[in-house]
Amino acid sequence: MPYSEDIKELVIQRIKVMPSDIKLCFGGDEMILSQKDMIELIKSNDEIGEEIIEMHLDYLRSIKTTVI
Amino acid sequence: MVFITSYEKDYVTSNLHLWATEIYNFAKDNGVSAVHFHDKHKSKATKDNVEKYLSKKNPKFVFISGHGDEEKVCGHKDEPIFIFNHNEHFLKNKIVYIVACGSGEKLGYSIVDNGKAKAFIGYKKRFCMPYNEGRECTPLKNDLVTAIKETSNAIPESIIKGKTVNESINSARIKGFKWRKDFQRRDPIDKAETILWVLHYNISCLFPYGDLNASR
Repeated sequence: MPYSEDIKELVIQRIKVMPSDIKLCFGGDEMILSQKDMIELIKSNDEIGEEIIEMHLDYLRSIKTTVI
Repeated sequence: MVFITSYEKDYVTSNLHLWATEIYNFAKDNGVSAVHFHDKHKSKATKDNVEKYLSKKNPKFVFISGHGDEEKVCGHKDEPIFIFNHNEHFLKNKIVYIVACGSGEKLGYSIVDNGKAKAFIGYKKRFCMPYNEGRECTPLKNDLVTAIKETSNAIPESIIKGKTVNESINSARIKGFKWRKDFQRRDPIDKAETILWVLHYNISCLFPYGDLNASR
């Protein structure tokens, strides 16, 4: 589903605060993404970018129900 | 008896192979006989080898790790070893855990519905892990990889200990929750919280199907 610019910006900002040396592997070696890669995929409405948005939103929703 | 397959083709599969080796050792340490097909074993994790083995032996628990998608899971050299609507019957009466992207879609359902496995555990979407460029290590990256590994391996460890599928899923969630608390309590300078979504994602994609009260 297409996400609003606000939601995309929220996730982009969350990705920007990650440690800069961390890359994430979303499957095989061809899917190793840096922060810059992830942000580009989100900005370009790529399918993987949308999955990354969903991951973040799901995590944020879970915070509401997680007791620390 | 426990049957395990893994292989080492790239970063992810090499990690998964190490995790699978830990499970092999865990089974042995707990007095459970285990067989592990991998690249350095005399029997590599190929479709032919796996089918031959499963047609002769009857392991109660099968643990497969590798690349995959909703219709297949791979072994040696990324060649498919289980394929949707093709050879699921080799998994009849077994508990099956597949660590592969998308295994909880068509293949997972089919392993139970068509292959008559007792139960299946897999992942609905992509399996995600941090990538160590040049294998350099930082405590945070190490800990995230460890958290993801321990969460995933909690499932086969529980099954090997005789727990049910449901209990094994719960043990993985508890393990993940403990890591989550650990990350959230760290100094914000560590930025540990900023990568917690990766651990949460893997746990949320866990998908059990079939008889959830089944045990080995």
